[in-house]
Amino acid sequence: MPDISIMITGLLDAFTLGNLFYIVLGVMIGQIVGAIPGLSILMALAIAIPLTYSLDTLAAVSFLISINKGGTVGGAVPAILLNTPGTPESAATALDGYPMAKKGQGGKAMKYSLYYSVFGDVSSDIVLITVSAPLALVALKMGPIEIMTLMFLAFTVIAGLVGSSMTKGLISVALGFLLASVGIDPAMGSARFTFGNIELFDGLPLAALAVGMLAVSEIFIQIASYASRQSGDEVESAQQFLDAKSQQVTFAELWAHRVVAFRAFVIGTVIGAIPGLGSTTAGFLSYSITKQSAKDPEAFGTGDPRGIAASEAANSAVVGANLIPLLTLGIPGNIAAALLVSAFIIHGVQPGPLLFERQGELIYGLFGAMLIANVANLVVGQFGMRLWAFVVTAPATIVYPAALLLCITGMYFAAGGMLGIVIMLVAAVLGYFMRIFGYSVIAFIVAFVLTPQLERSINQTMLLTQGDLTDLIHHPIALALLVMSVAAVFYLGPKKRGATAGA
Amino acid sequence: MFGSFLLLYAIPANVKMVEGVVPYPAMFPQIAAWLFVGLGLVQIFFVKSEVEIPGARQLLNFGLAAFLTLVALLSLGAFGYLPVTILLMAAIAWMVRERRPVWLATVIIGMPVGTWLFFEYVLQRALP
Repeated sequence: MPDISIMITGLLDAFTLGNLFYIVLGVMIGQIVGAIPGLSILMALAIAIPLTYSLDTLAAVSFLISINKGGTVGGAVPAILLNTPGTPESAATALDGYPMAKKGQGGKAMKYSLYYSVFGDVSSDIVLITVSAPLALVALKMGPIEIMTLMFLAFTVIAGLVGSSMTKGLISVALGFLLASVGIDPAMGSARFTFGNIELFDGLPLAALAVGMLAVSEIFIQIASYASRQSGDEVESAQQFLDAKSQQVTFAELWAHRVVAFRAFVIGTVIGAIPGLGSTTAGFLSYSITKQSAKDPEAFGTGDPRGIAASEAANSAVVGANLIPLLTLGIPGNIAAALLVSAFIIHGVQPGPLLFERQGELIYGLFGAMLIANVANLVVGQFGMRLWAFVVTAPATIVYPAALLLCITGMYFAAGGMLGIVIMLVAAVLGYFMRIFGYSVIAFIVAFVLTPQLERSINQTMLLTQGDLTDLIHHPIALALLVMSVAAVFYLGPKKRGATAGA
Repeated sequence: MFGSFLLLYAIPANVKMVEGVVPYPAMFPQIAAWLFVGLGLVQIFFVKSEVEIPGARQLLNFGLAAFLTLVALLSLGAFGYLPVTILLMAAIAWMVRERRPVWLATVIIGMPVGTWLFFEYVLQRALP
């Protein structure tokens, strides 16, 4: 148990004027970058790291973590208002956020998104602060065998995202398998479907596919719609809002979905604590589980606040939880955490098991900064919502071309140049035809995200067990996850789908 | 058909075929291909679904927007970011029949220049 005086000193360190400035600045940058489709938080972090050289360690890491936190809030705004997610994990938020905005309640949808996002973030930060060490040890027990069975569970849960036609949904999943195979295979190191192009060795970039299929496809649809309108038809603004009262969110309304939000926070925290999984997986899994376990799954996709709560609380909870393996074991949970490792090392701090002993004041200062960043997210987010609400009152014939320009420019950097933008464009066309013919874009994206992890874990499992799968009986967590997969097929399966809205 | 094409040609031509190893390189592509074949047959014989195809004008305009964007992307290297994006925004503004001068200036000049300034000077990232 650390010295109380170190904890208090560390927490108070977070409240210096300089630190507060960098926290607010980081949140603002994160929300802006997250809101621009094509730009990624990773890019913002990579650019920001050199800027922190002259800062003291706490200010530097607080700044970077604030950017990360701001990004998870910012990405939801264009997803809700324009159906063009700023980040892949916000795509699940668009499923109910955009329909709610189309009903004239865009302000309300943004507020739901902000409040549940902050809830998820704060909750996972509290978990990080209080139980990070034992949780990290549990997370480390999740070896390749456990992760393989977790992936099986994730795939069975995806059934909730396939839309009204299981056949078409599974075809979307198959397409995800196929396109996720592009690149170097994890078992033999051989190139698959690269056609001799070295840029494809790392596979198709997720950002290009997700932004293309979801954002750019929607932008082209809107442009085509306005180009096809009758002469003389008035061009409406990109989004319209009902009266102010319709945009309010009361505490009672937030409290009504507390179970959904809490479950989403748990899912996000568990996913975030396991190295290698990410906020996109957390957001979609949470949405799917929430939809399938609801008594009225057909309400999802029509502007149901539960959909927003499930997605945002989960994808934001990942941010704090990603730091659990980093701070306790020195193992970054994702690329953003890996960038934080580099920031720590630059300032002479070595993450790992001894960090709490050697740098206790710094760590508790960091915890304090994270909690302050959540408050900053809430405050800055309120202003951001007003700004975005103003921006989308511009004519749709202006907003959507502007969004296209940002997608192209952002993707040029995020996906490594021209190939990424071309993939984004092809994905946009593919996504359009998938929508027309009723194939679930969401199911495809989730399958694309999960397949590489599944394949890697199968490969590692076969190596560890030397092909003897009966070895599974020595892995109780894996067995439990397999049982949950089977249970999910029956409990969350076809009887729940009924006339659910397609994704 | 697509599944058969994958199984018979695309996978053998583009993936190393190895036996005796799990997972072998072609495993997931082959799973995908068999799913396409099986589910495709199910769709043909057992599933009746109605598809709402957008009107020809909508489809053409979508294609035109995509084509203009493709041409712009392919021209970026030769002509640079600003000229190409200004022309792309002008073309799209023409497509959607935006005629108001202030908004035209915003989307054709303001957005490309503003974006260029933001990336070049604020983010310090060079554009083509």
